[in-house]
Amino acid sequence: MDESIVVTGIGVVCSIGANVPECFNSLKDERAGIEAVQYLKTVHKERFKLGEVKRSNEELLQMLSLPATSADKYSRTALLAMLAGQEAMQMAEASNGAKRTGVVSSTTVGGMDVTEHKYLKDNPDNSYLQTHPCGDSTRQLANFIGATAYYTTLNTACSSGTNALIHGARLLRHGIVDRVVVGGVDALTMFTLNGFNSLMILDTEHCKPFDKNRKGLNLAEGAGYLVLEKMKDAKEYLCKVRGFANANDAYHQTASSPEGNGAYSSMLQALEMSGLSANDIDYVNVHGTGTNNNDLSEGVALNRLFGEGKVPHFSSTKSYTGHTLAAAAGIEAVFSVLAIQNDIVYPNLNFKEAIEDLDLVPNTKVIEGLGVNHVMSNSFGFGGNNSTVIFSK
Amino acid sequence: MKLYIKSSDCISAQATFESGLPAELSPAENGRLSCLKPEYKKYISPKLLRRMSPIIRNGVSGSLSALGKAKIDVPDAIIIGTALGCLKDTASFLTQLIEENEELPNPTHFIQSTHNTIAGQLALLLKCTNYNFTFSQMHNSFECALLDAQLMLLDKQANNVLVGGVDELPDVSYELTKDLECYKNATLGEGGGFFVLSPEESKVEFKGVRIINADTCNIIDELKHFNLRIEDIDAVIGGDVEENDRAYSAFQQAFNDKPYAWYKPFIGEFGTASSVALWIAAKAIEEQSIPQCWLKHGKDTNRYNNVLVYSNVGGEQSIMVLSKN
Repeated sequence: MDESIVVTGIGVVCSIGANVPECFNSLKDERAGIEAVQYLKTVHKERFKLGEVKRSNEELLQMLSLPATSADKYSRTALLAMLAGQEAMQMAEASNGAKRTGVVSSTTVGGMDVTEHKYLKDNPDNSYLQTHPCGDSTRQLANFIGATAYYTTLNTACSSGTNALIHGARLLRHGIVDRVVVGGVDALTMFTLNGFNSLMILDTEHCKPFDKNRKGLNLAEGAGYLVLEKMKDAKEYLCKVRGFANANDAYHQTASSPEGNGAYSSMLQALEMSGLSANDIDYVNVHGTGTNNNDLSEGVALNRLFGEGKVPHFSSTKSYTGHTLAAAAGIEAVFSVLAIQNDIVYPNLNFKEAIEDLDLVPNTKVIEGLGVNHVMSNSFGFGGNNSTVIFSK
Repeated sequence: MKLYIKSSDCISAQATFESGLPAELSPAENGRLSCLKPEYKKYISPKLLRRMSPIIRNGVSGSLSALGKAKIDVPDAIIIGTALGCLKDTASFLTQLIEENEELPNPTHFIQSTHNTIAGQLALLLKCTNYNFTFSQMHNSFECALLDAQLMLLDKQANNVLVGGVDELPDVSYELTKDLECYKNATLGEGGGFFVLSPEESKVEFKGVRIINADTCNIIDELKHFNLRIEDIDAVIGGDVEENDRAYSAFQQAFNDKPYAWYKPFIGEFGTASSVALWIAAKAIEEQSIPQCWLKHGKDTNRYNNVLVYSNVGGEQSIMVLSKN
């Protein structure tokens, strides 16, 4: 058991809170963070609701005790990463067996929030070239929390955060690092808002994951990180990382297969690695974006894995946070850990009617005291990328 | 467990694709080193090809060639490293949305703008449902991909892994980056190296990759990780961008009497240029020769047992070691 990997810290920032306690209270109080646009500069301000982190960049700098003069150094992506990464590391400091700490982060558009305002401008300010690469926010995070033994960035679209966890676990197992911060971050951008709009998969109202009348996703931002260590190095821990897997749907660049092959395969492989059986899973934090395609495909896969009528309690917390892209898996991993720690299952907000043929009803109210021991969390993305992680008490 | 480079290929500004180490090198044109285009149609249908940006074309062709040489239809894992991803599609989408004030830009550019389009397209073309990762950590993007592949093979989670590094230099990013301080003395380039790694024996053993984030690098200590001493190294491939590149001077001195190859003046500087260096190292061992035109220092010895690749861009350093089997 010594080689088991455990979670020793968690940190999160998203539309429902700027830290773990705030987010947990929102989850319990069924308070979503998807609202009218307040910060993002876009012509679509009136049209879409977004899951914005309710802090300006200036306020984020203050929260990080960084001087206002250093604003140009950081993309919003980096600031969000540093806020959540710092919280996770501070919690993990209690478990102090480890020395060499690394970071495996993930992001889809890196410093695009800066780039899109400076690109094609007459003023030849090319400072955004420093913050643009995906690796920049990771390097900033690693330097900020003193975790430079190794750092890298995954970009496998919206499945990235779980893939960061998979790579991080591998680094621990081989002793490349003693402790690793894993997760993901993305800031809202005009680029992604228009991108998802061009694909016609944005809901103009609150998203309705797994509902028959779902219309699309709400775009959002945030960051979520876990600190992982080997159990033998940790003095205390929050839960175990029991299994994980990545598989590819190999069906379409952006759409999921009708049979949910990739989703089924990643869930099955993660389950196999965990040594658990399907009916051991107490709660599934589904990918559940609220798009027609994802929820149908994921639903089919859930029915295939667990058997029709036997799918455990499940919900999409994207109904609270919106879809935070590469941050989603990190944020939902934090929520999964909290579900185990607090023995709670979150509701899937805005659900009314089940998808025809699927007969899958997500959990719609807060349930406590169920005995949540094993939680599965799904994250899927463009490029057919599917990932699943299982946390255990 | 020992790991081997079962096959490799390289797309660059030189005649490297489906070839050995070229004995003649062509100079940069208009201050940049653009890729020589492979005959893409050999690997990609014309219909698909039309939609693909250069990085996807090169990433897919290079990968399919490496897989073909290794006689692998479907790899157990696809792992790609790219520093800046699909820049051309990103720039197209961004330009359109800015110029047309967010009036429904073309979704194709958005779809193809994500970094994992290359690995995703490979999965689609190969009907490969296995592990599929894309790393993007600036100048260590390829090294991180390689490390993930190495650890995955050592864990016996795969028996063969396709691993590649690739970047593109469209006009727009050339114009933007050519004057940056950090590229002051470099010629910008593009391309990538593609490899099949496996525990199945080949001529070239892959000893491993080390990623070092520090101001200095203690080469003696680093080599200990590979059970090697300085005198065991028969050739070094350095990432120098100019004759007196300070990032490499101490390193070159440590191997003063060894052949020292360089490549960035010929294939250009870009985030995953070190993937080309690894290809050069693999060829040096396979062919037991390094054509003189690649050597910055020393003479071709025709005896290469251990070849070391060293990169250092702003303190983000890496070491890769290959040995003759």
